[in-house]
Amino acid sequence: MESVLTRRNIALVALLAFLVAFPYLYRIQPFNQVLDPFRTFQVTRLAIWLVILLGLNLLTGYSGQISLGHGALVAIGAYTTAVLMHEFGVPVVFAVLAAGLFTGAIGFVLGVPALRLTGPYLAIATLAMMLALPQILKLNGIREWTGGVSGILLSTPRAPAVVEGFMTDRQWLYFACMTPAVIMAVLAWNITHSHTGRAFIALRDSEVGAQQMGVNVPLYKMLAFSLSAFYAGIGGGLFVFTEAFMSPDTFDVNLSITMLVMVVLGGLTSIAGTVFGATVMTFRNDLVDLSASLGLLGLPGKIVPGEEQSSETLRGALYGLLLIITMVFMPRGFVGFVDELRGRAPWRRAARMFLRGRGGDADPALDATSDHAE
Amino acid sequence: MNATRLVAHRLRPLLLAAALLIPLGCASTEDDGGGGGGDRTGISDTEIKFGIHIPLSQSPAAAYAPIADGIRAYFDYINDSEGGVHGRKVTLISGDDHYNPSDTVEVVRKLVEQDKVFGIVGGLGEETHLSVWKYLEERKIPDLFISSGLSRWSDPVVPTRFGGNPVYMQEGEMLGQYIAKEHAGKKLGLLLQNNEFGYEGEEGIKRGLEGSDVEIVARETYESVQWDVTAQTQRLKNAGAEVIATYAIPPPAASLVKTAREVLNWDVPIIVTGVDATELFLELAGAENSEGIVSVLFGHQAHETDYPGVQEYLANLKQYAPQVPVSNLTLYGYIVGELTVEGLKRAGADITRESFVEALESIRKYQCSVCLQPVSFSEDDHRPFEIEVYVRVTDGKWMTFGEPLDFETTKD
Repeated sequence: MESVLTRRNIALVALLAFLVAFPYLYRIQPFNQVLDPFRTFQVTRLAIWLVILLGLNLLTGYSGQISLGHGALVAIGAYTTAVLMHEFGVPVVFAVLAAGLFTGAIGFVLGVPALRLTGPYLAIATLAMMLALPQILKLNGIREWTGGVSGILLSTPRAPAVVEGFMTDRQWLYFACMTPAVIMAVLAWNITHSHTGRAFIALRDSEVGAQQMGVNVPLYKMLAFSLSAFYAGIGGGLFVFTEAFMSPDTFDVNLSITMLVMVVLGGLTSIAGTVFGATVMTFRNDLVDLSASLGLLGLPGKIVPGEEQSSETLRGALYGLLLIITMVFMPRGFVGFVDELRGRAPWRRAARMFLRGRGGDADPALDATSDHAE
Repeated sequence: MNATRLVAHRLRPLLLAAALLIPLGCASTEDDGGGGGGDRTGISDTEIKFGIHIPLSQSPAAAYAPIADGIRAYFDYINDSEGGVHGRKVTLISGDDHYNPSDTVEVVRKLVEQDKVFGIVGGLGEETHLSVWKYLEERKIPDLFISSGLSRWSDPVVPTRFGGNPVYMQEGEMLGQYIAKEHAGKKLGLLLQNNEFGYEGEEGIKRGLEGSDVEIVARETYESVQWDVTAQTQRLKNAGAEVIATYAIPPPAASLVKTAREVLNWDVPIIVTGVDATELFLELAGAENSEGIVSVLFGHQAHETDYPGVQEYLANLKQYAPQVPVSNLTLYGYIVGELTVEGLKRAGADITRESFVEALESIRKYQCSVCLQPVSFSEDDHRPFEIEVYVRVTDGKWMTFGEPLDFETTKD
């Protein structure tokens, strides 16, 4: 009895309750100061990014396989869902699930080149996949299904009649995406704390070592790709369901790289870090807006004479600068930063010195490997 | 642990959850923004707010950002010289969508739901706008003068949506007719952007070529993220093309011209889409390389400093957007701003979204300050620029020649 009332469980229940209440909060004081249906839309997107980034973290963070082509897998999931819904009238739940499984199968096959390629070489191969996919999707041969260059336009998703009265379409979409996101997050937590998760980490740290310990290296590599693709497929399916539109250029190279950046920013090998990464991914435009409103865009004008007015075009530069600053101050991502802060608290420092008999700064490599960073 | 404490402990999460769930009880029927009849969203006693989605960063298409500056410059000019329209200042909020459809969805919802704009004006791009056009349509939000020339924006006509750019089909047909006449019997090579912009242009060119003896011998495409089309140009040459037509945005179109002239030493006649009839294209391709290139346009140009409308534009741009270079892009934005303001004026002080659309539809033969030909709308015609004229690069400038071609569908 006592064990279910841990601080952790209380926090989890509170979090769940918050997630359930969130789309309604904007109607009551004082939340209506910052919340509105647009924020609900953004958090719906956050849920989708979370699913996608969780998959990428399983692959890159836990198994150490760098993929610059994750957007391609998301696009495959999105297209599968869209085609199933549009051409065959499959209900969205089954369409998204099927898309996840299909993308997962493709990921399994994509794992094969990963058996021979490592590090930067694998990154290049996945990048190539990302570059090729839009052109394949535009092929005239499959135009009947994919809509070619015009993309696929689905009908706007509506809340089913059952929930009418206490859910708007927007709120319905929120729950339709947040529920799978929570399930997928729990699943990811379970996977990473299981035999499979430990095998992934062993694989990342040393393939030879993992083999010595009896990990079937080829199988687990392909499994990592497959799992990650499954997440990407589900995420892509949810994405196309909420947007009701998918074109070959929606998931481009830029977005693929951004995904990787966000996973690193949040913290590799951490579910909590992925949540943070998904949050930044969702609100990255707002962050730039915010720093712009603080007058940061005017800075170059003060440094370089004659550039006083070059405001709007510098948004990209500002975004890059924010990323660099973040990585300089949080080299192990947000989660690593929090760990460090904790470690810096004087009593912790003292405790650690006492226990380890050495300086308070933990070895980053050691910390990154211990997989309970969240 | 005593019983009371245990119960309190157990109940705490439940109480917390219950507290947070209370708002669930507030049943909801309200909608997510936008609205129905007599809609005055975005209008206050002192202001009318518009929004635009346009790439300002992270994409080659950010080259089009000056369009927003042009619109804003015209709005500011009206606000300053006439105190706005019917006493309300007209403002424009830019949303940077990086030319990515998923970002467009976000910025447009933000403009509509948070900034509560009256309408979207000049939204740029094919895939980008396709990701939001239904959203705007369903909410009956004015979606004006899209900076893209797909036929589907205005065919079939939807009351709240107005095209901007001349329709690629019409423009392509003009280019095709020109090729049929001036390059009869020649072999034609095409360079197309691999999206609807390129494909509709191609269809238009083919329509213009109908009945001629021009043969299409090669068709090359590029992706919207590409700048360099050296390989494609080489293949066009190898295929034996004797004249080239292209539906490409300025950076790749310029790469085509540069490669042909400088690398392949190939003096092939080149015909480009009106999208390229800008100073930017000449700058990128080099004025000398561009000499003799043919395109189409519907407006006066920034270099025609003898024309009163252009003089006014130059003076206004200098005053209201001094940081933005003078170009056909700002000029285009300026025209869009002018048409919007004309609609606002006609709609009167009691403007609603519905009456605004009706006011725009009532515009007949309106001669805007820098248009070559008058603009007409009607209930079935939501295309502003249906009369265009050929232009050719002469001494580093786009110069008009020949008679205007008239595709105007509103005849009364």
